[in-house]
Amino acid sequence: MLKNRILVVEDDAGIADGIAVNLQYSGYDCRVFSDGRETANALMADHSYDLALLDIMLPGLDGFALLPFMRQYDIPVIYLTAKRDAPSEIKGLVEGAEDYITKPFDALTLLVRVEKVLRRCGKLDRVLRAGDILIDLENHRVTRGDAEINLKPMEFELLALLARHKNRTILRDRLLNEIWGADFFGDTHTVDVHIATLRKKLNAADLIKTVPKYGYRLEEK
Amino acid sequence: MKLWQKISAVGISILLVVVIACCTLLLLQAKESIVRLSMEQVCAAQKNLISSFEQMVQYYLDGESNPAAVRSGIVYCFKCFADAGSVLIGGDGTLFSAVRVAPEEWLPIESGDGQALLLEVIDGRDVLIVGSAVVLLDERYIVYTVQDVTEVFDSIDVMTWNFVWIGGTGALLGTALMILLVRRTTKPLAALKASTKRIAVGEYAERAKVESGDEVGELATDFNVMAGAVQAHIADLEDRAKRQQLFIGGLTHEFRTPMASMMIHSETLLSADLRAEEAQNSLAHIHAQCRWLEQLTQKLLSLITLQEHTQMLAESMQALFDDIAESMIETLQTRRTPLVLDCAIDTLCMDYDLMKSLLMNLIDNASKASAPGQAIRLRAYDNILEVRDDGRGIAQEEIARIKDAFYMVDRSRNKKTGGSGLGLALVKRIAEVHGAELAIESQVGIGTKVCVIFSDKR
Repeated sequence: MLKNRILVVEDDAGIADGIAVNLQYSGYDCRVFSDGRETANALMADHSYDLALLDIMLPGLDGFALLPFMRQYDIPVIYLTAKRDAPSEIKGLVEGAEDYITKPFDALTLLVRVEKVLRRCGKLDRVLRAGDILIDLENHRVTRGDAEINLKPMEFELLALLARHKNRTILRDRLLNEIWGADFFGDTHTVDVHIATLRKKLNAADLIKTVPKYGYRLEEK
Repeated sequence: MKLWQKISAVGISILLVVVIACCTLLLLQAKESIVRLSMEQVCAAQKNLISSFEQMVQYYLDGESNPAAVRSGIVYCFKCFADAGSVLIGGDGTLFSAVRVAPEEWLPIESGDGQALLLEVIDGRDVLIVGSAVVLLDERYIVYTVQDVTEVFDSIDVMTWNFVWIGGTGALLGTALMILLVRRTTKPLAALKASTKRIAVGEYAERAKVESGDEVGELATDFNVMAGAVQAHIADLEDRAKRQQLFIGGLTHEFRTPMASMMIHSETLLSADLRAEEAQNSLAHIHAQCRWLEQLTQKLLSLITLQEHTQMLAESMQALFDDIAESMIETLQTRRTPLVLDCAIDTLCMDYDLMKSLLMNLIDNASKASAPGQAIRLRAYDNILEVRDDGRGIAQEEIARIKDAFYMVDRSRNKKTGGSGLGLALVKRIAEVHGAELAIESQVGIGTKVCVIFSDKR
C-alpha cells in the first residue's frame, strides 16, 4: 500500500521538525510548510494529502483561514494549538476539524490521533503485519500462517498498538493509558503481565523487546 | 435604641419634668394667694362692720339703761351694716342672722376679743367663718361673718384643669417639635449609614450625600474622601491582579512552545531508532530551546528583581553610547542596520547597566523593525534619550499594548527574530525605576520614535 501523505503547517521549526521526524519514522510521507499563504498556494498544484496537521497561529494565513482550502480538497484536519484558551473554546473554533491537539504534546499522542483520523476516513490498511503475524483489526483476528492465535481483548489491543508503532519504544505508562484508559485502577505491572502472556501465546520471545526502565517495542528488521 | 430616639427621649423627659414642676408650683402658689386674699377680704370687711357698728351703738345707745331698748337698738344698729353673711350673737342667743348655718356651733368663741377663722365644708359647700367678740355697753357680743367661698375653690379647680390642659398640650407640642428637630439633625447620619452599608457590599463608587455644615457634614466629607481612597486602592489592586494574570498567562504560553518542541524531540530520541543525523538534529533542537528558555528566564528574572532603590550615579553619556555601539555592532551588522549616535548631554544620573540594557532593547527592537540599509538613530538631548527608526512602524491601536509583557505585534515574525515580548516590559520597568516616562510615537510605514523622558535635568 502507498504511504499516507500528511501535510504539516507549523511555523516553529523545532516542533515542525519533531513532527516530521516522527511521521516519517512511522512510515508516513509528509510535507512541512511554515507559512499559511504559502501552503494555500502550494495546495493548488499538489493537494493529494490524506491528512493535514495545522498550527493555529501562523504567518500569512492562520490555521482557521486554511480550513476552507482543506475542505475544498477533502483533507481531514487536526489542529495543533498552543492557545491558552479553555479547551471548550478551542473546540468551538476548530469545528469542522477532525480533532485538535494541545501543545505541548508527545509523539505517541500525535501518532495515535493521526491514525484514528486516518482510520476513520478509511485511509488506513485494515490489516497490520508484524513479521509473519497478521493482525486483522476489523475482525479482531491474529493469524500466523494458517494458524489462528487466540488473544483476549486487552492482549489484542496491546499487540495492535505495538504493531502500529513498530520499532518505537512505548513507555509502560503510555501503554497503560492508551489501552486501559486513564482511569484504570491498576499499575504498569498489568502491562508486564499482558506482555508476558502475549510473548507466550505468539511463541515469539524476540518480537516484543523490553527496553529496561522505559517500556516495550515491537521490532521488525 | 437609635440615637435620635435617645436624644428625643431625654429631651422629652426633661421637658415633661419642667412643665409639670412649673405648673404644680404655680398652681399651689395661686391657690394659696386666692384663699388668703378672700380670707383677708372677709376679715377686713368684718372689722369695718364691727367698727362702724360700735360707733353707731356708742352714738345712739350710750346712757340707755333699758335692756330691751338696748337690745333692739343694738340689733337695729347691726342691721344697718349687716350684709348677706353677717350674724350677731348676744348673751342669750342669736340676735341677728342672715344665713342658715349657726356659726357659733362651728366656731365657738369663748373668751378674748381677737378674730377667729374657720374654713369648713358645710352641706357640701366651702364656707369661711370669721368670728370676733365685741363688748358693747358692758355686754359681750359675738359677730360672725359667714362667706360661701365655694366659687373661689371652684375657680381654683378650673384653673388646675386649665393648667393640666395647657401644660399637656404644650408638652405634646414640645415633644413633637423635639422629635422633628432631632430627626432632622440626625437624618444625615442615617444617609451616611446607608452609604457605609453600600460600600461594605462592594459598591465602591458610592458617596454620602450630606450637605449640612455641622459635624455630621464634616464627617460625611471626610467619609467621602476615605471612600474615594478605598475606591482608588481597590481599582489599583484589581488592575494589578488583572495585569498579573495576563503576565502569568503570557508567561505560560511563552514556555509552552519551547516545551512542546523539547518534548517531542526528546521523546523521539528515547523511543525511536533515528539515523545519526536525525538524532543530531533533534538534539540541536532541544539545545536551542533550552537556550531560549534560559534567555527568557534571565529576562524574566531581571524584570522581577529590578529594585526601586537602585543606586543612581552621574554617568558619562558618550561613554554609554560608545559602549552600546560596541556591544551591538555584530547584531547590527548582520541585519545591516547601522546605528547613528548623537549625544548632546554630558552626564545623566542613572544606573549604568540598567540604562544600557534599556537602550539596547530599544535599539534591538528598532533594528528588527527596519529593513536592511535603514539606519537607527540614538540621540540624547535635554532630558530625553531617543531611539528612532525608519522601519515598519506600529499601528496606533497596538501602541498602548506593546508595553505589556508578552505582547507581540507579530508573533510568528518575532519567533524568527528571537523576540520574547519581554523587551519593552523590561524597558518600561527600567524607565520607572529611573523615574522616567516612556513615550512611543509611531506611524505605519514611516518609522517609530521611542523617547525616555527623565522627569528633571540631572
